[in-house]
Order: sequence, then C-alpha cells, then structure tokens
Amino acid sequence: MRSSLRLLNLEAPASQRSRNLYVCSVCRHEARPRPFVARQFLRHASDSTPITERVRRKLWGTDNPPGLKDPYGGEGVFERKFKRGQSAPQENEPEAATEAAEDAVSEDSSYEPATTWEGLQRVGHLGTWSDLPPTKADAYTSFSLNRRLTKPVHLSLAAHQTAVELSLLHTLKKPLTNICDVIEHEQPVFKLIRNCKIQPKSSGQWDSAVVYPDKETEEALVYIFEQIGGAQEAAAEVATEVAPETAEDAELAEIEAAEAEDAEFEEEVPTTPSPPFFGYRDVKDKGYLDLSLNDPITKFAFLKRFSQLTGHFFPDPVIHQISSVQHVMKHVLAEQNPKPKKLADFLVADASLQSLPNVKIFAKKQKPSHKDEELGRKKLIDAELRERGLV
Amino acid sequence: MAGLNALNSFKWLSRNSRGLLSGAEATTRYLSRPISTETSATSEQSAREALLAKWAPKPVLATTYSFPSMEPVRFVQYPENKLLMPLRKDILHRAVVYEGDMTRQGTASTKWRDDVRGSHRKLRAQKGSGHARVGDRQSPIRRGGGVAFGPHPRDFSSGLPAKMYDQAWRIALSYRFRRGQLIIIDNEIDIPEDASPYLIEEIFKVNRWGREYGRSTLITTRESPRLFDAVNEVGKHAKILSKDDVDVKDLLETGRLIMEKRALDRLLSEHSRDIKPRLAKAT
Amino acid sequence: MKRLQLQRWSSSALSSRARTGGRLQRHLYSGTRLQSTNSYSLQDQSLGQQLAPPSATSDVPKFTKRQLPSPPAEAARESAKLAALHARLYLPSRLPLETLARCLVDASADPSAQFNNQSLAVLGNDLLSNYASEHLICTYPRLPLTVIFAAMYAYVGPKTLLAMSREWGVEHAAAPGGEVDPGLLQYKRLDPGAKPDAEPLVGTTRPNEDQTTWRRSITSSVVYDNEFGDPERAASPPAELSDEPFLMNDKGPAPVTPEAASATFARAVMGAIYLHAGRPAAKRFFEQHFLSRQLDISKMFNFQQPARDLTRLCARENYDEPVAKIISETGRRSRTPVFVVGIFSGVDKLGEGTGASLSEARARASVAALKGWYLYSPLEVRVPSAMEEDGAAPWKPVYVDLGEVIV
Repeated sequence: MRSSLRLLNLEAPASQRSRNLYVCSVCRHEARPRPFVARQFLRHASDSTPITERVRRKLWGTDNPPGLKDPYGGEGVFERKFKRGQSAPQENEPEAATEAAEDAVSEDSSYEPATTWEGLQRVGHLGTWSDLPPTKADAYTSFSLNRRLTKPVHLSLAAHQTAVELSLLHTLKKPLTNICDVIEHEQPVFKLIRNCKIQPKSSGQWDSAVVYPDKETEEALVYIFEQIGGAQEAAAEVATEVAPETAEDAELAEIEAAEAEDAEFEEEVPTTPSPPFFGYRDVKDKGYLDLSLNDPITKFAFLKRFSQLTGHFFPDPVIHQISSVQHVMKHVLAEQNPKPKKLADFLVADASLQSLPNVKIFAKKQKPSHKDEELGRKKLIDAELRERGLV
Repeated sequence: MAGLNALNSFKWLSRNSRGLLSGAEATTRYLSRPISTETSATSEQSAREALLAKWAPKPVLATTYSFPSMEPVRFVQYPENKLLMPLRKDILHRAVVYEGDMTRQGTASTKWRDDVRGSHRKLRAQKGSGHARVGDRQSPIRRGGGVAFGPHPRDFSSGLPAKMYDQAWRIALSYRFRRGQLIIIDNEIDIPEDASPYLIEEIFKVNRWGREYGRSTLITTRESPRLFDAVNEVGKHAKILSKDDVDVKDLLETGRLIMEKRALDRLLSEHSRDIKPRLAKAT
Repeated sequence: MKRLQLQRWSSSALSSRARTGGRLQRHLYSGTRLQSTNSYSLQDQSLGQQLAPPSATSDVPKFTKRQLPSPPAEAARESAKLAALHARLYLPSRLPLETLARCLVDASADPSAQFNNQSLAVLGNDLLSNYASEHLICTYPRLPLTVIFAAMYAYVGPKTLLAMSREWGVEHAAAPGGEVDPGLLQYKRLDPGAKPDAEPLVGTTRPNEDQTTWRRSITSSVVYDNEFGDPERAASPPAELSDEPFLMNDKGPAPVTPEAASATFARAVMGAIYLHAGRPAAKRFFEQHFLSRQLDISKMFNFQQPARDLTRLCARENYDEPVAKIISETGRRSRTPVFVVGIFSGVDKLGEGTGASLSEARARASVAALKGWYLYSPLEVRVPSAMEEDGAAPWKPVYVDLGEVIV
C-alpha cells in the first residue's frame, strides 16, 4: 500500500467496524468522510507520487526534499490493524506479493507475527527484583521437610524411626540432638531401624527400650550410632554390608533392589524426589507410642527430629501439652482433619448427632417461604394473593 | 453402752484426722492438735511447703529457632507473669485506644471569625436597605468568613497508667504465645547480602507464614535497611518492625509474630514496671 | 396397694391416635379421621365426598397435608421442635411425642374432640386446681376467701399459664393446618382489633344471671363460680363425637386469644402427664413448675378498716380488746415524725407498725396483727393428695379455720 494512504484509509469495512470496538467514536467519525475525497483524488492521479510527497517537494522546491522518506514514522496503529484484516483479499495484488517476497528474503521463513502479547519474550524492564529470576543466594534450605507428610503411615514411620534413634542415643549416652545431622538415612540403615522394636520399660523409659531382631543388627546399629556426630561415611559402608541378609520378602527385596540401583545413579543427581521412607507402608510395632516425653531434653530432641522428618511445626502450647509419643501422633493426625467450621458439616460428619430427635437436616436450603409453610402462614398468603388475582 | 459408742466414734475421728494429714490443711490443723502437737507441727509445715511447691507458678517453656532454617535450637524459660498472663480484653482495648490517641496528629487548623483578617465594620446599615440585617464580613455564614467552631491544632493523646500499659504489652504477647502464634528466633533475623525478596517469599511459603495464613510480623532488634527493604517488597505476606517501632496494636495485628529473642526479652523487661520491685532510693 | 390401670381409665380422654400401641384402637381410628380431613374452607365442594363410604387405603393419597385441620400423628416424630420441647420440659419418656403434639392443638384449630387437647385440658385443669387449692388451704388455713381466689389465679390462672408456656419456649403457629410443624401451638387467632370480652358472658352456672344489679357475695361464688371466683360458662351436655364438626357452624370454630390457647395447652400437658406417667409424675410436674413459682401471699391483702377488723376478730376469738400503744416515737413536732405503735391484747402484743402519724402507725400495726392471724401456717403441712402415695401415714384431719371476719 502506498504510504500516502496511511491516514486516508481509516474507514474500516462494515464487517470489521463492529469487531474493532476499541476504535473510539471520535476517531471513527473523523476518519469516515475523508476516504471519499481520497478516492476521488486517487482516481485522477496521473502518477504514483502521493500528494503529501508532492506537497513536500513543492515546499522544499526540489525533487529530492531532505528529511526522512516517511516523515510520519512508519505505519499507524489503525493502518497496521486494517492491513492485517485486508491481507487476505489483497493477496492477488502484485505489489503486495512482491513486498511479501522481499520481506521473506530478509527475514526468517518461520517467522509468524504475533497477534497478542502473550508468550512473547519480554524485552527490557525497570530492573526491579521481580523482573529478574531468583539467584543462587535466594535458595532456601529449610531444616524440616519442605512439604508436610500427611499420610498416617508416613507419620508413624517417622515417629518409630525417631523413637528408635533417640533410645539408641539414650543408651549410648550421646547428645540426643546429634541425630538431626543425619537428614536421611541410607536405605539399609533405615531398614535396620525399621526392624527394631520398642518395648519401653515401666513408665515409658527411653533407656534400652529398643528390642533388636538379632545380634548383628544390634552391633551394626550401635556401630553406626557411635559414629553419629563424627564420620558419616563409615556408617554408610557398614550399612551396605549388612543390608542383603535382612531382606524379608520378595516384594520388598525388589523395591530395595530398584531403590539401590536408583541410588547409585542418583548419587550425583539427588534432586529427584524419592518416596518418603523408601516406599515402606507399614510400621511393625506400636510400642513406641508408650514412650514418655516428660523430660524436656528428650521432648525437645524428639520433636525436633520428628519435625525434621515430617515437616510438621509444633507451636509452644502444643509442646507444653505433649507428654508422650501418643500425644504427638494425636496432634499431628488431628491437624489433618480439623473440626469443621460450619455446624451443618459437623452434623453431617457425625451419624449419632443426626439421629438425635431434635436435629433435623434438610436437603435444601431453608428459605423464608419454608418458614411460612411451617408456621401455616403460607396458605393465608396464597389465599390473599389469589383473591387479588396476583397469582 | 452409750459411752463406749462415743469413744469408738472419737477413735474413728482421730484415725481419720491422721489420714487427713496429707490432705486438706485446715482440717488437719484443728483435728490433730489435741493428739500430738510436736509431730504434727513439722508435718504441717512440710505439707504446706509441698502444697506451695505444687501450686507455685511454673515457668513457661518456649522453643527458639534459628532464623532462616527454622531449626529448633533450645527450650527457653519465661516467667508465667510474662508469657502466660490471662487475657484481659479490656486492658488491651484501652492500650490500643491509648496508642491510637497518641498517634493522632491533631494539626487540623481553621480560622474562627476572630482570626479572619479584615475590618469588623458593619457591612450595611441595620435598617432601610431592604436586605436582611448583616454584621461583619467575618461571619461564618458569609463567603470568606470564619469557620464556626472549626478545629484548631490540639493534642489528642489520652492517658493510661504505666503499669496498665505494661500489662497490656505482656497480655498481648501472652495471648500470642498461648495461641502458638509467637515464634522466637534465637539468632538475628537476617538474610544473606545478595539475597532478593524471592528468599523472603520462599521462607514464608515453606513455613506457612504468608498471606493465606494471615500474614506475619517480623520484629528485629536492629533496623537493617537491606532486610527491611526486602521484606517490604513482599508486604502482602509480611510486615517488619524494629523493636523500637512496635506497639501493642502491632502485636495483635497479623497472624503471627516472629521475634528475635533479644527483642522479646527487651520488650518484656521494658514493660514489667508493675511486677518489678522498685527499690527505694535515698533522696 | 394395687397399681391403678391408668391406661384403661384414660381411654375416654385420650384418643387412639395418641396411643402408639394397641392394634384395636388403631383399627377403630382409621375410619373416623378420613371422614373429617377436609378443611372447612373446602367443605361445600367436598360434602359429597364426605358422605361417600370411606375406604381406608384408597382414599389416603387424595388428602394433602394442607387439607387436614391439624398435623397428622406421624408428623410428630419428624418435628425437631416437638422433640426439643419434650426434652426441655423433662417430660417422662412414657409420654409420647404424639400426645405432646395433641396437647398443642387447640379446639379452635381442630374441632374434632379426638384430635384436639380439650379433653386433656379438662383433666389437667381439674388436677391443677385440686393441687393448687389443697396446697393453699392446707398451708394457710386461715386465709380469707378473696385471697384464696387471687392466689389460685396467681398459681394456675390463665395469665400464669401463658407466661409459663412462654417460658417453656412454645411458639405459636400463624394459622392451624396439617402442614404446620407439630411443635407449634395451633389455634384459630382472633382477627386484629377484635375484643374477646366484648359481650357479657351468658349461660353461666349462676342463677339469676340476668339480674346484674344484684349483689354477688363471695360465699355464692364459692358455690357457683369457678376456682378463681369468676363466673363460668355452664358445661353443655357432652355431645357425641361428631365426625363432621364443620357442619355445625358456618364460620367454623370461634377464634380464641393466645392467652386462652396457651392456658389450655399448659393444662393439657398436665393432663397428658397424669394419663401417661401417672399421678406421682403429675404431682412432681406440678411442684416443679407451679409451686416453685414465688408468690408473696402477704401482698394480696387489702384491708379497708384494719382496726375495726381486728377488734371484731378479737371479739370472735374471745381475746381481750385490742389496744394501741405507742412503743416509741421520734420527732413528733418535726417534718418527718416517726411513731412506732404496737397493738396489744391484754399483755400479748399482736402486731407492730410504724408510720408518720399516730393513726397511720396504728393502722399498720393492725394490718400486721391481721396478717399475722390470717397467714398462720402449721409447722408440718400435709395435703390430702399425699395420702395417695404408697405407705402413707394415716390421715390426720387438717385444721381449717372458720375463715375471715364478717364485719
């Protein structure tokens, strides 16, 4: 299209006018009468020089007036818009075709002009922090697990593991919170821990509450836990030696094998999330629930380790109330399903409340008309409305 | 026969009173006196001490955490009259109103008719003009006139007994503590040198402190501009105040308080004039 | 002592609907209700239908709940309000919800005597006035009759019963009908602005009721009037339980005031308890809900001339002539003098009173003396109904005084 038509071709076709709603009424109004003039003018135009160009030449008095070839700074918004709309019918025009060909030469053939800003690369910004991606310094490593474990199995596994670890440390007379240095055990070590049972002596004592399945496990675990706070690697080595003998059933062995293979590969890439507790889904004994948490040091160590493994947070008043592992589990499980806030939800949840004679649950929301019906007022209202011919 | 019965009942009574020695104190004192005075005196005292020890207020255990990782560090103890005060909404209300009054600027200023510049000449004669009678041009009903009883700069601040205000501080902190919304930080709240607000966002997201959990207020001892700027960038999740800027109202505002232990100790010790014994000074 | 068969006795007052058991009654009931289920507004159209022979099963679906004059019996089990009321009143579990629902249906809502609370209310009223009057007379054997009437009204009068049903949390339905919640008190309301006591009561139990100028003595009201000393409408001979009660009157049953309906309800509850749970439960209910209300009888006296009354009383009882003596006084010439006057009969002081003048103090002292006489109460009060208990001690006649002084 010739550049002189830039301002004159503003009248949109009737089909487009309705679509391009954002063209303000003033613009449309002003633009409308002009094309008639322009077309008239065009019809009589002898050469291809547009009138603006001729006016410029006349003003400057030369055939090559100085200044930009297109002093108006490219195509206008509307023009571009309308051109795109008209591009389909204009395809057979030879000029457009040649222009397109020239464009194609200069640009990439896969270029496709975007119609909206979505998905376009953002170029240029004001340099605020939200314009930049997070840097390395913004990485946050939390002490506890970043997501909270919610499944009861996982929670009891974590509690059991914590109980075994802490009672081992109790027996070894080592500082209890050292265990938190080991964020996650190797799988064989975890398996050893899992095979242990907890049988607290009177009143939930922690000392020597662990019952080992066999002598080897005891030696291995004691050896490993002696190392805690010192060298970690030795523990891992021992664990791998002990592991194969204690495999229980085929299924678990398979899981372990797969996990072990994965572990070898994943040593370099530890970012892929593994299932918590190596996919184990059951706890062997319930003895750990009876352990007492009255001693502040033990309580602190237990809650610290437990929250590290599960990602749960224990506020101070809850800590104050806790006096045994049972309480911890109760609190954590109660957090999963909090008491409903609405009375209706509360009633629906409890069948025994629904069967009370003075409780009645309606399937539909009760409206004032229901109230009228219940009071016997509705028939009077109906009768009055009928009498006045309003129904 | 009747005499024997009476004796029996007396025996039973005395035996009973022995049994009561460890129990209710008042009963013991009256019943055991005639039986054995010397032994009961010591046991009475020990029972009293045991009772006192039993009912003595126990200090509160609070957990401290290290800041960015939120690793539990230790249990710290606070006296029960600092972090376990019973809730007194009336005192809190008075403290918040007191602070609100104190922060009122009170600089609204207008000119009354006396303050408006100009002559007090009567605008036109009282009678004969056919118009309503008028006074001077400063009258409040005239354009350009004064404002009738408009505001003048004044001090809105109201008073509150210092001991009550101190109590309000501790009640507010205790309320937060009792609801598990007071998180004490053992070290200093800070972020690395080159960290951006993304870090704050991440910390708040992982620990569930953000807007969906009711926002949180960070209270620091020292006002570090870097940290404060970073936190203020994510103001929809967090609010940060230095210890000196905190009011009772701020303690009650957001979902939880995350305080440095030093700041908490400072606030508590500054606001315990009502429980601190004041030493008499020689003048 | 043999147990009384209350269930058998109660069959006259209690319809088969209220009783859940008993196949025979249920069978009897099935026919009658179906004939009377049309509401009176539809009576003309459904006249032919009523006369058609009822068939128990096929007719049931034709009637919607709205056409019933009062809620059906099975709705009582559904109502949360009714269950709550039952629990709130701590009613015995032997009193079924259906009977409580029936207690809430006034005769103006459902004229059928089998479904309204009329029969229960008659029984309950008798029980209430019996218990209240025996309590009053045995506790204060010397009370004047006017005071007894007023105290009866205060204990079991309609205004008290209205207040009690409000305290029990009984809500009133806007209009009676089958679709109404059975936990609401149902009665036909008066039109707004209507005056319930506009026309004088006619057809009372009094003779010569047309002679309005004749004096009505208190003694005659003992004989002729009701327990409150008010004229009472004479009981009509018991009409047979008609199946078409709407045909009796074009306008249907007469509307009643909320006060009357509430009073009937409270009486019906009393009757229902008596029928279902027996006499001890009824008496306990009376003691817990009626006698527990505080009533200061000493405030109910109104003496016109206390000094003269006292003189007559002393003459009747052969005491010495009462003499008023100043016990102490202060500020006789001041603006606020106070005299303390005692009334003495011989050496016995009968009463004492204070006043700003001598005559006032004397009148007050006389009132105190009279009240001391009339409010005499024996140390151990035993009422005749206490004899109904198992293993009761033999009855010792209660002392009842001659009554007030007739001046």
